[in-house]
Amino acid sequence: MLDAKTQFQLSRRRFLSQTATGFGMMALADLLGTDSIAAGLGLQGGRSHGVLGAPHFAPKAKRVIYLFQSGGPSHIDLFDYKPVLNEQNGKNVPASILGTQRVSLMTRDKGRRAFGSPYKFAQYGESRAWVSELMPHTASMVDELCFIKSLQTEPINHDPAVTFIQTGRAITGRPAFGSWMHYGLGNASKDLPAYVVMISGATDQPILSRYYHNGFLPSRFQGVQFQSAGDPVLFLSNPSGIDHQNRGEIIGTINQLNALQHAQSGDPEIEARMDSFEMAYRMQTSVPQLMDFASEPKEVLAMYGPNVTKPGSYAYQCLMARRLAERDVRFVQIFHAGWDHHTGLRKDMKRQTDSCDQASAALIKDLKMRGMLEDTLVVWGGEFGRTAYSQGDDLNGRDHHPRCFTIWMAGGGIKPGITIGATDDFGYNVVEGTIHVRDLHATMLHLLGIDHQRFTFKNQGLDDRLTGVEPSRIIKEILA
Amino acid sequence: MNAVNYFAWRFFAVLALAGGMPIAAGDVDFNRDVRPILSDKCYACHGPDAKSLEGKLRIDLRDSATSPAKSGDMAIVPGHPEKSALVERIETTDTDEVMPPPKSHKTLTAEEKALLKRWIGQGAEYKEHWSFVGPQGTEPPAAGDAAWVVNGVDRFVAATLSAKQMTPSPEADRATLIRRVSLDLRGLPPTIAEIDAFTNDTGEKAYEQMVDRMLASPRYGERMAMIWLDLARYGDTNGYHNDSDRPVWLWRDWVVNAYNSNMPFDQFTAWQFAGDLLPNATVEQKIASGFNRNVRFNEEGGADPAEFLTVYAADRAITMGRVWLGMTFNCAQCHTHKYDPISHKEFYQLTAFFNSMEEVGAGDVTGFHNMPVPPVMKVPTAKNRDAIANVNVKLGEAERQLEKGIFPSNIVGPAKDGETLAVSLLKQEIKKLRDEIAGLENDKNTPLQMVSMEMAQPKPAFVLMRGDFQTRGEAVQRDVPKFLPPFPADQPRNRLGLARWLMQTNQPLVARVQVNRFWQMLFSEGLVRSMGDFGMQGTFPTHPELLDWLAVQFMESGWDVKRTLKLIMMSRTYRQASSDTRRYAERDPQNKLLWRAPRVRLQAEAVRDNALAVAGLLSDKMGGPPVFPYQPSDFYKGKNDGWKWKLSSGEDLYRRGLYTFWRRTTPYPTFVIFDAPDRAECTADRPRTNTPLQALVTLNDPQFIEAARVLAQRLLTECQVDTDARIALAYRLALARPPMPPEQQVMRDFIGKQLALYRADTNAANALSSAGRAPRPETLDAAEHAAWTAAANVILNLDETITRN
Repeated sequence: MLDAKTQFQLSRRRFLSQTATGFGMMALADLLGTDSIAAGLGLQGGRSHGVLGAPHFAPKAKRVIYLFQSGGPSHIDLFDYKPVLNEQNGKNVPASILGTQRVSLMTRDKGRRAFGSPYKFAQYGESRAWVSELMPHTASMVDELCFIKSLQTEPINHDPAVTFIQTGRAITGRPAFGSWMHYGLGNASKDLPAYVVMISGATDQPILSRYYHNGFLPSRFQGVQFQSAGDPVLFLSNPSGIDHQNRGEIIGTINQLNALQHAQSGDPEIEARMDSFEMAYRMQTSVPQLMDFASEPKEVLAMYGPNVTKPGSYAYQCLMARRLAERDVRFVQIFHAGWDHHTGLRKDMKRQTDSCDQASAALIKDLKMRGMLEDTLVVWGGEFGRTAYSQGDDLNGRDHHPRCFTIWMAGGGIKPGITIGATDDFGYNVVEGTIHVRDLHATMLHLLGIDHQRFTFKNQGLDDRLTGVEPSRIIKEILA
Repeated sequence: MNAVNYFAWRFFAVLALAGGMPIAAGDVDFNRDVRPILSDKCYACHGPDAKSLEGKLRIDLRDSATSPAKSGDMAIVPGHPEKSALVERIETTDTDEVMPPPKSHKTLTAEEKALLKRWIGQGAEYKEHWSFVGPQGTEPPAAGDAAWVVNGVDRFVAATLSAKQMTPSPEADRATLIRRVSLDLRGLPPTIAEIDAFTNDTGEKAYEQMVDRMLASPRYGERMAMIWLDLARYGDTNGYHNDSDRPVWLWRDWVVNAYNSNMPFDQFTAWQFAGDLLPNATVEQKIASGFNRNVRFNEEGGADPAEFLTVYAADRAITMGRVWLGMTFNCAQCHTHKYDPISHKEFYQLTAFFNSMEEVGAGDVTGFHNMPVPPVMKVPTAKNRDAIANVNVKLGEAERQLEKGIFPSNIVGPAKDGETLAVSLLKQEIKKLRDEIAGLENDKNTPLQMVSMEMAQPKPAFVLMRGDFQTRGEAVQRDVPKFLPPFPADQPRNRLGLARWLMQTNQPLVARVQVNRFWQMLFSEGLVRSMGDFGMQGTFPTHPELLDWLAVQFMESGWDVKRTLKLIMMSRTYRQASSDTRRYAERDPQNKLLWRAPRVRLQAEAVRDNALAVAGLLSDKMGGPPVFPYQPSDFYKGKNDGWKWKLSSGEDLYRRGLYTFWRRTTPYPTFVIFDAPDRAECTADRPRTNTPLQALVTLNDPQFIEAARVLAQRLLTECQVDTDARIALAYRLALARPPMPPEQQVMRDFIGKQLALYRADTNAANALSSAGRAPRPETLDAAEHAAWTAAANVILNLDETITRN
């Protein structure tokens, strides 16, 4: 109650001028005398209700874990089995397939030699889903997964394409999905941020903080990156010479003095600041507890693989994602870089899949064992796919390809064990059931109980929304 | 109070809270009351954008709204709400008929409907949007207590306050005033000497002279630049993807100097837009033109140069729109603006002014962090420039001698190759001098600056359908939007002409937008609260006549920034106390009527600058390449780009935040946590949040711990009296005021406990008292130093310390 009240006060000014339905809703909440809607905007850490108060309808998913594979994983070498392409290996991809699609400058005016996948594919599980030999652990879990093979995006280069799938637009300045979610649904955790980001993987494509930024939403909605080395939350540790108890003493004194000022001026901002200091103190305990894997059974650790105890590794972050989900963090996003295989694909693809296959599958198993999979939406995928033709003559690399790529989703209201959409014989064009990134966003919001058309924020005069003004649809066929 | 009454009371309290003060009949004002409703709820389908127009009805135009439709119905019948189709449609419960339609997800409140009916009943008078009509220099009203009023600002404010039977707050005390003025104009706290001088000055002009001193401080230019750099989207890197470094700090220093020398705003504008196009452009003018180059640059290998050239040109037009005109031009990038009179075509006509600069579109021209993006100008240091000038004098003399055949008579020798010895020696001398100049000019330490250079011939420009560079529409010529004054016939159609057009005094928006920014700097909110939007969807000014009066004053002063700031700061309105936020908290919680001064948390850079200044750690070195203060050592680990933070040393660790290296894809985390933007694009208004992550910065960031440690040694060495005197000194350094008795008591008890604690724990005492790299007097007792460091940590974390009162 106290949090909600102070947040109400601290955010009142901007809230009134910016929320879509600001005034009416505020009045209603006040009339009801509850904190449910008036709480409005949440702190980064500190339980709060979102601007929507209650979701538009009953949600299937309470939280999201997004395993973002940065750089553009090759759908052709992982999930989208293309025997015809394999047969055509080394020959030119037919002009009828290439069409007039925009291609990246790196391969514009260059050869178009088909590059069949060097990896063996097989069908797995009752769902008979195709998976390449690179992903044996994922293959063992296919009956929990829903594959979308016909996802399309618009930009063709990394920065705009990641920006697009993160924020719904290629231009910068718009909020990330996690920021929207925090804004709408608030923070369910009392001592952790609502949107946590972790970064792992190889050093090929940079991960920009803009990718998990609040955009035009107030800055408290930005993703909070848990650092992979040093303090997980910036400046969480006390300096040498101040222990936890003395830190409590110091914060108590600060707040005693702040309270004297508040008694004089009555400014609610001072109360909010006092709350922030208390919350910071609680985080100094809760975050180290979160990071401490000592309570994890050996078999759980083993499931995630040998790297699970190495901070900064993908396996470590997958387990951390589950622990964050258990603590009611709404949106956990791992950015796993290292998928940009223009050259050296045969070597780097193995390295990359080795780093993420086991832990991704373990996360699904672990959530399932705990009964959490049903209300946790897990998404695995990158910003685009890769070309059917080789970049370079050595048949060892692929360029960016936005016109079709594969992702998988699981849990949180998703129908398990299905595959939707299909591409042509070269994995180059969608031939069945195009899904646009906006459809993905609309569907994710739907699973969270949010009508994407009614979820807006006043930005430069417009009622802006994640899915923008272009058409988008809920992908009904993947809903459980 | 029974429940019903309670709820009714709450309801009206909330109404007032939202600023929804009931409007008396006959008092409906189109600009203030009606247009915001029509614009928000109707214009998207019944407004300027022809492509989304429904039923051929434009509600933004009175002629259209009052003409019979095919059906014979009239949307608006002036004077007759009961005959107006608009009223019928907003009141019906038929979901097929009701406006706004359900699919728009917009609804009208009962109050809004009543207002529209009353407005139609009163004749449905339309007015041109207030900000598109030039400011009228209305004389300030004869309002306000004569003893209270200082200048026109107060008269306007007093008029609105007294209309609501409200009174201003009393004047703030001297300590608060000097701290306020110092933080507002310098971004730094006043020194003890400055506080003493001002509080002891009984002269009539004490306050004015104090303001003058602050305006004359070189710190003033730095403070003003802190605001301008957000608007001008200044960053030390290219901003996309690999985000390589770029040389642009000379431009940043130029901004600081321009403010310090009080360069008139029209000149400030022209140089930045088109310094390179001015006749015989000076080095300073060319540096100023670096403004246009502050757009990001995409160095991603596969990026298409043709695409990004259009992005950069559009960014410049959008920035101009936001910063000078307070308009959201970016909305017209893909289609005609939904609310404001900016057509799709006009956007590209404006963009065409910026599309013909010599520049690379995209690609790996930087060799991964090694090379600047051309064109880049070498700017020799002042020392080298002087040296070059000296050599040039000698060179000129030598060349003159050679030309005129004047040789020193004492050089006699055999002629060689048909030249006398004197001639050949002179030629050797000339070559040597030329080499010397070349050497100075090519000194590898010569700073570089990205500058603007115009192509000889403008490139053709086109409307880009949906903003897509591949889908060209009609060809367009350079021109300005029609809702603004026409482009002057006697000016060249280039960036220079555009800047001159912008600074014509018949521009309705430019001066208003600027004075609104000054107002925000001093009152935390603008008179127009939507800082970057003066269009239809922007907020109506809280004090429209005051805004106009200030705009006229600004223009008539010859765009004198310091004078305009001083005018506002001399007012009683500015000098009010902020200490009682309760008095009208129910009636006007947002302080729109200015019944008190605001309490405002400092801007990110100033939070750090202030702590360093209070500790006595802050360097006053101005300008030069950006610096790299402490940052968590592993911060870039896992960011996957191999870029390194090159930690500065010595004085450069303690420079003002303004000089901190601004990496756009990963800005300095301490600033980001305190709401700094990434400066990828123009930012007109920073939000001001209050989060636990901020508390962790001021509590634990090594920079703040070091500041506490150094502040502690300052207290221990500068004050030898006793604990109370040291507490008082700490309060005066941080807050410019002495502690109140209960505060004194809390601190005294705290220090007593801390002393006991650190005397019992030598390791902790040693660790805390030696935090950071700044020197420490060996003579200090570690336990005492640690205890006072903890006390200083308390002081530097007080809400009041990071707040301007």
